[in-house]
Amino acid sequence: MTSGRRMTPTLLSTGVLTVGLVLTLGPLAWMLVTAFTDPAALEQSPPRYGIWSLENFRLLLSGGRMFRWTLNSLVISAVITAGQLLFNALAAFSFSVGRFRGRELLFWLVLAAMMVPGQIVMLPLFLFLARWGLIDSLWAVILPSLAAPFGIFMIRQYMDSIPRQLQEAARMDGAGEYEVFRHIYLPLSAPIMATSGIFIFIAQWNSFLWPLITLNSEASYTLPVGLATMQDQQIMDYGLLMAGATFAALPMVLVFMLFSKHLLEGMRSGAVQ
Amino acid sequence: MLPFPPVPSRVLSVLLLMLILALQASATEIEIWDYPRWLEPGETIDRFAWMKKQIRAFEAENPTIRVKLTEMTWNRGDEKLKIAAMGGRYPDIAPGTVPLLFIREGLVEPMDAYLEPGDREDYLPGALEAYTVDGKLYGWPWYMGGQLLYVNRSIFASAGVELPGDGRWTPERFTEALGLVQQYQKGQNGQYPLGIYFQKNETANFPFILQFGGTWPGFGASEPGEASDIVRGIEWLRELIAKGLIPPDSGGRQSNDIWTAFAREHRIAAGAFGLWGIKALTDKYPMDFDLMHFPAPAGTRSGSFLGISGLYLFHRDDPVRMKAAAKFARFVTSAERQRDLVRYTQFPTRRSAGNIYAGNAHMTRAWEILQEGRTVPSDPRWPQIDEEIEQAVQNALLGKQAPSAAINAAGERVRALMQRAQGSVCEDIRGGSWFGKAFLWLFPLVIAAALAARQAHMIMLMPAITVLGLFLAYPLIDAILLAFRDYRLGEVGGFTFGNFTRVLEDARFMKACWNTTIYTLVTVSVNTGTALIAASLIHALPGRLKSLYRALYYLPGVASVVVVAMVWRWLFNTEVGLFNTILRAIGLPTVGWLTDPDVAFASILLTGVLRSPGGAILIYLAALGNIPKSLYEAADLEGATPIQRWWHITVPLLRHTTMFLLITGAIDALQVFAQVLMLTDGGPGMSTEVIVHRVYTAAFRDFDFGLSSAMALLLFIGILTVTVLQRRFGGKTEMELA
Repeated sequence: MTSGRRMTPTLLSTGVLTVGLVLTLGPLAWMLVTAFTDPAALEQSPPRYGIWSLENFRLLLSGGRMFRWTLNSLVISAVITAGQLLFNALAAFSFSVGRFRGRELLFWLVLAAMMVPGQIVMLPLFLFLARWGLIDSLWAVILPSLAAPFGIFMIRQYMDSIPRQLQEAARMDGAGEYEVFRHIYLPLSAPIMATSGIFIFIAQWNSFLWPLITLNSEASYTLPVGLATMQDQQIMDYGLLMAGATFAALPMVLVFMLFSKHLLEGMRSGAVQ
Repeated sequence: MLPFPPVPSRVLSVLLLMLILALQASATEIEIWDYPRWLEPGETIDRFAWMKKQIRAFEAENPTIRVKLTEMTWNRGDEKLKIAAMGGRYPDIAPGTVPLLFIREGLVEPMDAYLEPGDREDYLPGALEAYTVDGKLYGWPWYMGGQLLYVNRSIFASAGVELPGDGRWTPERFTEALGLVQQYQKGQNGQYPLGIYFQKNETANFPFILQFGGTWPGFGASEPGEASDIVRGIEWLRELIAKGLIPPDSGGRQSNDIWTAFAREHRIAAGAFGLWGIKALTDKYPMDFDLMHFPAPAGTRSGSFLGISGLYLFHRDDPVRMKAAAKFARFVTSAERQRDLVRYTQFPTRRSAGNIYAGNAHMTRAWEILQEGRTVPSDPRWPQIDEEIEQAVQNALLGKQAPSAAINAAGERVRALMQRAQGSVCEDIRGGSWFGKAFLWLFPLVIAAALAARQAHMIMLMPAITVLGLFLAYPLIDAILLAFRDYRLGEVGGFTFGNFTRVLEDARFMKACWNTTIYTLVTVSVNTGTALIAASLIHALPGRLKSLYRALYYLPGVASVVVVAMVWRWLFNTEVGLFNTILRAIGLPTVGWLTDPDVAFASILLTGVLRSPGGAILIYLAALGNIPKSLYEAADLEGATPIQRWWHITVPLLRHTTMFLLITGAIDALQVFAQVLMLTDGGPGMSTEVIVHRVYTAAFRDFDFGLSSAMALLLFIGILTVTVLQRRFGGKTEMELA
């Protein structure tokens, strides 16, 4: 094949792909444009663009509540990521290595739980947490997410591929179950744990419906919930709203850029597993 | 001679400090939730500064009381307070109009015992009345406002309209004036003499439909004759639409649309807004404006709607705390502090505050107009009644239903609502169900048994099992039980199938099912198709370019749905959004992207379609990598074009992946929620209602837990069916890929 024949389709498909990107990234680009436009220019009729300023961000951050919401989001996402990874990995290890009665039944139940959509448990869970006085506390968001069927499933699939000889060798040396987990399975599962962790973190950072229901005072809002309520009574200050949206989206873009290799490869292997 | 050696001052100060600490420790702490208020002079951002100042002053006077302020937001603040209170997490003091829902649930403390001599006489009778339910006073009235008709004086003057000096006009006179304005505006794009809106919790435009008299549909005797006056009012508005005096999509407009068009863009010459408009039209959007009575036939009251706000107290068993809270509520709403309302453009509720608006022509006129005002019926079910009425009016104005049919149907539903028995949902929430109690006793036993087996793997499994058991299995079973229980505001009963019949009668839910199906079919097929094409194109790219595009397509996926929805809302904004700005600039008619019921759902679909299918692309790329090159070589020998190769080899080989993606995509799409909540909240009318949104509103706005659970159960069955289909047809995907 000559390089000329190869170049044309590449150019063509790059063109088509770029059009697709413009459509899907367009709204986010418009968010950035608005966020960095001077609020006075936005107030004109019709709004004027091209006058840049950081005024929207200054206004956004001057109240201090954005930091509070960011802190809440960060605490929730971090605690859930750590907790879920640990609990999922422990469970996955037991399912993969353990030999006890009811193992298959339990694992089947965990698989079945993957099919339960969040909306159906939302109301009873709210009532349940209300009885325990946990409404409006970060625990209401954290506790129910400390383990997840999909994560258990994913990590177990991965652990099943770890050769059994390794654990047998360790047991010969007198290692207990916890040591086998801690020193063999956990380190060897690092790639899937990393991928899984990033996914959990992004999902929790962005999660909306459940925090919307359980977090009811401004001091306990997460970023998405705060953003959804961030409008004045009548006047929509879109410059400010877009600055807020940018502020909420940016950390995830950074996470993505830092870990995109893990994320994209992991997603692939996750799909192929 | 002192009997004791002199005490060094250091010891004294330590003792004093300890005393203060002891006092602090014994201090009563009360919590107040409040909305953002006005900006104090010199403040630029903190709308809670006034309240914080009052708290400091109060604490200085009452050193044993600590007041904690929780800041609320105007948007959804009321809903969040309701959810929190029903969930048992309420403050001591909360702001707002008379809290009928909480009063009925027995959560609010009557204030009669806490009034001091002279208080009662000092309040304006209307203010006391607004907070009195069954002869008891349930709060401290703070300020009074209402909705008024604003007109842009320069537009009316240019059109040659002489505004009536006393601010009164008959419907005929009013229509005539609008006609003159219309001639002046010459039907230019988006310009109208009058803007109106009907949405939840917005009574501003009701005077237009009540101008010929009549009572609310479903109230009182409600003979057909009673409702006919309201129907006449709606017919009157429909005539204005037919004449082009108000925008044709008025039924779907929202207050902030009309406000932007009136105050900022001057596209609309008159509109109904709250008292706050006076301040905004003085400071933020300076305008030559006037306040008018709503049009009413000669000799009748113009009847604008009043809003009386105050502070009310949630009941606590601790009398000291109750007393402290009452003291603070009285302090904040005292006559002296009500004088600060001058910065809020609201009227004081205490006579002794005096006339704080002397010399202010607008406020004086407003006060005159509000003297003829009225309030909404005092009924805890008003939010649901309001929703029925607003929806009927929206449908009638949008031409979806004849006015009489819409009003009669709403009347039927309101009557059904009014005939409910009484009972407290809150108590029941806190009590829990027999199943809940049984589960919570049995579950620890199961855990204990597992631990007692002293089997390491079982113990390691316990954290995850505990979480999934408590927060997934238990609520799932409870949800199924709830779906068969009559459990709603106004009625707490036993086992019933009634929820399912009510689901089928719920027009909103039916519309939601239809919309959700369309949304799923459209977005899933389009997104999977574009993912297939994009992945095929990316797969053929050389190495570096391939990674770049793969990453760029995945990137929008990391932004939260809320963020994306906020951007769309901005793009779609009727008055100042990008789309309509462009349409205006090139001289095309603008589109009511989210306000026109025929367009709104298409807009929601557009947001679903233009989400990057990044995840699907990755999965396709993985599958493409597994297709052996040899398969293509034979085709090359036969001289197939790239498109033929793709269509006859690639696409069929990817069919299991495609099936997998279609089904997982469908499961996701069936649960669409955040876009709808953020963009349209199900409106206008119910044109964008989707299932999860209805499940949410049934539970957390109507507090009809049984109905909500029944709907959620039906959704669950739907998703289960799709999942079973996946096991049946798409189950091979994973293996095939490996």
